[in-house]
Amino acid sequence: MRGNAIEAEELGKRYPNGVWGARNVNLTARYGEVTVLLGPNGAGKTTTVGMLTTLLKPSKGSARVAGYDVVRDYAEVRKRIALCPQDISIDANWTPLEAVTGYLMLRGFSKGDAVEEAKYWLEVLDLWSVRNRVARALSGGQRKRVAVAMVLASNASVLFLDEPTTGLDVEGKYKVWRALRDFVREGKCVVMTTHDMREAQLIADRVVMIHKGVTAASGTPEELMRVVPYRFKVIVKGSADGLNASKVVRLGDRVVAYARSREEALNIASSVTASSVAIDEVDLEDAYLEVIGGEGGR
Amino acid sequence: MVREGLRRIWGMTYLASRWIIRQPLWLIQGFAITIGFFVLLYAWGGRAGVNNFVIGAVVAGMWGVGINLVGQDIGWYRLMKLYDMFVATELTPTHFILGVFLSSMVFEATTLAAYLPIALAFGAVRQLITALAVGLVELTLATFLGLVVAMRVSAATNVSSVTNTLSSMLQVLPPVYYPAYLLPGAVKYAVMAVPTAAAAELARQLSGLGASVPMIVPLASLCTWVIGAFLAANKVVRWGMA
Repeated sequence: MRGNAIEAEELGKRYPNGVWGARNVNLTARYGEVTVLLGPNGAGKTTTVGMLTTLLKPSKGSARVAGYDVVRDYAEVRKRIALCPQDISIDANWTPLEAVTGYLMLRGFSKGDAVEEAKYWLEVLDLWSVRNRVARALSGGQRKRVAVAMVLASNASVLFLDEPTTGLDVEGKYKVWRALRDFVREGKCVVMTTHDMREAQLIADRVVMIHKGVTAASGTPEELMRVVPYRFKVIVKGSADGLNASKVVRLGDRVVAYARSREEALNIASSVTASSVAIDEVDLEDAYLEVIGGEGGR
Repeated sequence: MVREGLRRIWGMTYLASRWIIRQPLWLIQGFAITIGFFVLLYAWGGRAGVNNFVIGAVVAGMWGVGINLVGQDIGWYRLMKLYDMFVATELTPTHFILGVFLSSMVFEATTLAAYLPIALAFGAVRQLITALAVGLVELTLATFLGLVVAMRVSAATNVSSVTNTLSSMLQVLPPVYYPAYLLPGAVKYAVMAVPTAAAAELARQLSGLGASVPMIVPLASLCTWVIGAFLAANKVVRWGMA
């Protein structure tokens, strides 16, 4: 599959209490890519996912998923998507094998095919050894990975995962990231939300920054990082006396100073007397702050 | 198409039945309560008591399965966000509800295993067949009501407390295990507004156990409840696109 899996224009949702969950979301997600919706809590990421997965009816704008309008053709959309909701909790009485098998059966798989698929994805997510253990005896991270395995196994062409790695340890996160990257290599589309900048930078082909219900910026992580007018940052731990930089963010007893070039960064580093000074390239977090005009931003 | 639909229903039944398999003591509880009511009614009422026991066991069982189990399961899925996960699939609300409903039928099967041999042994077959026929209507009604509660109670954690109360109160208090003619004057008419009492009265009359009120009263009550519950369920059950 090639081309756009999702096209959303000026998408907005107003809840019955009058609050806008999302105001103006524009986004494109392609097949063969992981698109990350990035934003703080309450930014509108989950509402956007809700509209794209036909859980919520948009109040304004339009969206097409897998070539179908999410309002008019919602039944067609549902055949082609799978959703791992935020804070999902699989039933404590289900085993991983039962959870994946049952989910696939209710999607129309035969029991035999469902078990085969379940076996593959439980192995990928390192859950095969606990396949017959009830969920209440699994760790929180394992339970979360079972939910991810359920949707990955579904054969959907567009996958939505709302904060799938929240609460996972580093090892667990890597397992999920690896599975998602393998999944998109088959030409499928993954849309996931996170507020973890590092995760977005590592896994995303495309990032859509949502702030206060509006698409604030979108592009590849590299494109987005170019909006930051600096290339390096100097992290100073301890005394920052003598610091001379055009942009400085103070975080208590830590200081982050930005520099346009490596030379400038080295000059800043040598100008302070602190015991610990580190130089790093600017990253998606800096781009995010720049875009939303948050602390340290415009 | 039909085969895929059946697979979806079976898939839902498969998932929804896991907790019963893991916690079979719930089934034993249902079995024991049914036997307990038999002992009680037989001890006090002899053969007539058994006839009333059969009617009561079927009506109470169907009511409990419909309102309590189906409602609780759906409330539980809402709480765990599995409901959202299922909506974003090919599954339709009919598949979903039928799947959950079928998984709950094991409870009805357990009570059936308790009252069927009793009905056969005491010659209460007519009461059994009539009660099962009326019970199916009641089961449908109770399922609709369970759905309404599961969808309308905003805090999904509270669904069980509402359905449990509705379930047990309407099984034991109104004339389900006992005939309504034991109640004074107008009370026996008023109590027909309760769906379990109406179902039990109808089953009693149809199986020749006598009439406490004219048949039109429980019949009208039951029909009103079925239509009302269907309309309410149709209004409140949201399968996405909220």
